[in-house]
Amino acid sequence: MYKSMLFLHWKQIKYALIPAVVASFGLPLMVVSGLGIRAARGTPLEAYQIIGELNTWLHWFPSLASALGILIGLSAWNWDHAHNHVYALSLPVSRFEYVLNKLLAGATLALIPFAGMWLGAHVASAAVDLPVGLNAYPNQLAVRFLFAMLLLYGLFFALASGTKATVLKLLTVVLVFVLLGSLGNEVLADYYPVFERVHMVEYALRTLIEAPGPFQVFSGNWALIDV
Amino acid sequence: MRWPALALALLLGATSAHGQERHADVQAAQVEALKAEIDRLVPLVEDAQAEVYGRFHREDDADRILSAALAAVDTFEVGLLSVIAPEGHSGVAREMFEEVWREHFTNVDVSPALTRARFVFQRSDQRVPIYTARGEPRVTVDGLGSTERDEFLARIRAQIATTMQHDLTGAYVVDGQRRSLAVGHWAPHSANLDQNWSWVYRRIALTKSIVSRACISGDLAGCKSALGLGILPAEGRVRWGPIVVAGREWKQPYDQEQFARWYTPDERRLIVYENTNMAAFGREARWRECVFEDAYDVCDDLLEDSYGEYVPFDGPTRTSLLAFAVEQGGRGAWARVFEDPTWTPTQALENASGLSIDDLVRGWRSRVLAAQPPAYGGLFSSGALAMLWFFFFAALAMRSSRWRLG
Repeated sequence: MYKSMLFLHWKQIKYALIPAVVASFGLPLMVVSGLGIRAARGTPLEAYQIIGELNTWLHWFPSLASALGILIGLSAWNWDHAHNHVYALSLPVSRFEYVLNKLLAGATLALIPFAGMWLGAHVASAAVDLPVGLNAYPNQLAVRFLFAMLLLYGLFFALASGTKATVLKLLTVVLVFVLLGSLGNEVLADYYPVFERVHMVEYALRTLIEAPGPFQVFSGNWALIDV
Repeated sequence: MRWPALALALLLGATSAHGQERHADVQAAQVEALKAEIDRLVPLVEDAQAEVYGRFHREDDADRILSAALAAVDTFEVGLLSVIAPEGHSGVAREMFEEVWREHFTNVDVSPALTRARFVFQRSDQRVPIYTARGEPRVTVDGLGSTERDEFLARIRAQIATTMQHDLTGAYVVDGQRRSLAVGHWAPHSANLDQNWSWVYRRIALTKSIVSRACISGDLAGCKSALGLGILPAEGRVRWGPIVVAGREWKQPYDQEQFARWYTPDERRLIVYENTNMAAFGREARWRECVFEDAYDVCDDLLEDSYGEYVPFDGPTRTSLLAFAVEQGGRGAWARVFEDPTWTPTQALENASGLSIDDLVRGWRSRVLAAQPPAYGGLFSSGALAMLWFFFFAALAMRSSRWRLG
């Protein structure tokens, strides 16, 4: 059953996954591409510049991981929704077993961009001649990429397992909170002084990205090259 | 038709060339006039500063007496510190000052700057501010809730460190005399004796210099050079930075050979590139030549004639060596830093730590390298947390109303 799930999911997203894998492989190379050219000109690499230039690229790593996690998560239930869950209901398996197989199939697909990122990060690290004091972290970057991807995959897998209406309601609540949270804070501060110091949206975001919040893995280091 | 046009073109060309020449002359004259004006104003400013400084000193005692008469305050001692706080908040203030002193400054047993200062502690919303002499260190807190406590402790610590620095830089009057030491200019900003060594590691790893890389690789001479130690006569000067030559020109105390020992030609060009001030005073053409045409000799000339501080390890990094020296010297070490105003930084550091400069720098290097921050520290704990949430989300997907209806 796992194989069938994997095959079904692969069929669903293969055309989206192939460019994603290319992006995962290419992103670390893009990060160091300018540095490689400079090295080839015979200009020694310079630590401060390397870190500075990499910083502008850092947000692309979590963004790509998020995009891939969301893609794999949302596509996991496409087949079921399209056929009104008839296939799932016709199988002689429990819901738990069915979902577990589906979950593992999606997680397996997440390993493909992870492999691309790992390989790309290693190639990129090998392509630059780092000065003393700086190190490349291709394995750590790729592992963080995998964790972040799986986290978003899990979240959107759960969301997509419900109805579209549920997903829309949830997303609307989140958006309304983010957009109107600041306004609400100001109104509440008139009545309760504690809201002068506590900003609800900031507090919520901090709770989400700090341990034990779910998104802590996104708030760590994403640098391919660091001290 | 052709001849009049040609004549007109020639006339216009000649006028334009003449105009440019005249513009350059006017610019040069303006520069000279400005320099002369600066020469005339500098002594006046210095005299005025001295006058103001002396006046502050004379007014101190009067202000303090007035303050005591006007405000309902408590004054208490913590270590070498005298703290003034509003009556209602003196308990909290004492508790916080004691905590900071106990954790960061117990080794400081002599500091004229701290002894002389009166630390003011007050809330930002206090109706009648505590009135003290100008320049007294002041710690203002926005509230006294427990959530901001760490921030307030950090403020108190920073204020004490900044005040202590006056022992070296002479921004504070001691016995009616202004102190100024070479070591104070060498390690400026703040006498932060409790260093974050991982942060220092990061700074030295990101320093763009031949000698900083040599230092990381284990070359002691490289470390000393990057710290600006043992570079005479620059080290012996009280003023740490460019000097004034012939009353008007800024001149680096370092020659081109010294710059070449510190930086590669590309790094020197990068310094010039980042320092757009070097393009001022009609030097833009030379600046562009250096930066865009790889004219390294022009870069070196610009560096030598510029105003800037080019010792590879910056002030906060050098301060970490001072902190290490004080730590090694134990009790009384801080006072030994400024025992003799004529000392070079090397002598002051040796005297404070009780170690030779080589041993001191070796120990400092080991301390810094041992503090290399883990670039991906906490990756697996945050990864494990992510996996926990992953399974939690998956568990949510196990439940489906549609499935149960079926």
